[in-house]
Amino acid sequence: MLAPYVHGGLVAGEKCACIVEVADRPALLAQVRRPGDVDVEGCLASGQLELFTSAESYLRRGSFSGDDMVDFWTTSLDGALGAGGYDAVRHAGDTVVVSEVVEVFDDFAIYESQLNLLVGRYPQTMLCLYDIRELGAGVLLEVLRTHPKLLMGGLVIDNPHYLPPDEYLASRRVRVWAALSDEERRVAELAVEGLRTTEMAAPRSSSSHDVDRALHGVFRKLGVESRDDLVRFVTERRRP
Amino acid sequence: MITYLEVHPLLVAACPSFAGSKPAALAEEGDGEFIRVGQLVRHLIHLLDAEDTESFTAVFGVVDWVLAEGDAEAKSLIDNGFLDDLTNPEMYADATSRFADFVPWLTPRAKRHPAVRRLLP
Repeated sequence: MLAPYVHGGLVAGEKCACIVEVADRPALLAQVRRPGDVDVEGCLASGQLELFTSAESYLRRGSFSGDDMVDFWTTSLDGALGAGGYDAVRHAGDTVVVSEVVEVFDDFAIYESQLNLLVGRYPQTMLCLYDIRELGAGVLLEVLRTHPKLLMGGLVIDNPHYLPPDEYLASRRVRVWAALSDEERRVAELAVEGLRTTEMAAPRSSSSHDVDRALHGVFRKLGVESRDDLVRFVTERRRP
Repeated sequence: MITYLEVHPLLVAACPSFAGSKPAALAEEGDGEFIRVGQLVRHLIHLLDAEDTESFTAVFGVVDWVLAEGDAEAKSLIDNGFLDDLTNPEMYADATSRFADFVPWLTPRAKRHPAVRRLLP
């Protein structure tokens, strides 16, 4: 899937930058290398084809950061379209090598969604590679919601489940809010109003422990780290 | 017997560097004990990233002590707060460390926590 994408880009004179592990490169380059039309070694030497490992990209700061990865691709685009003199860019990211990150962190899905903003701003194509056999159902749903087109069995399909980045973030807020229990929602609303957990407990004669634990559940489920984050989340959720 | 409201002060006493840390600044008193203990876990992860583990024996000693001699709510704070956060992968989103790196400091009682048991090799 990746080889024809890269080959087509090189033939069209586009810059191609891909995240591919070193072990997977010989097979990729063998498929891209076609005598008479693509000089792969020449493209690598000139920088028209650039390959990065996950350690040089997704994990270059030691751990995954969606914002940092958006910076990574933006830097690549600015270089290619500016000083590089290319008219268009093809990017590709193999996510299999960071499957641990993909499975666990909501950050990755948000990053994937935010990339669509980048695609709209620059003349570029972006291909995200997933091994769907390795993905859990939850991650697969996030993949469907964050990618406007799907390449399956050699066909490019318009994805009816895709949500533009703003809608995606809003839908996530609705979904995680719905995952709260009634008590957690009550506590979250009171926390936003500025009440201390001891004040939330008193009128209902609940123990401080139970309210503290409910607020902890709110923070964890919504993925917020502080009361300020919670206020921002609830404010965004209330926005029409 | 150690009570619910004594747990966080005991943990902070075992880890004095928490007081001036960024996670400590995020923890408001009105957020309750679970959130405050969670911020301390966040601080421990930062310390582990910085290979500054001097306080860990004392911290996990407190954890063990509460599990042994705490009242029901104090034990719940350690079980459903401290250890739950320590085993939560999302707590490590910005970190290079992982839960497995804390295993050398876990006592047998802490290792009986269901999430800990699941993640132990």
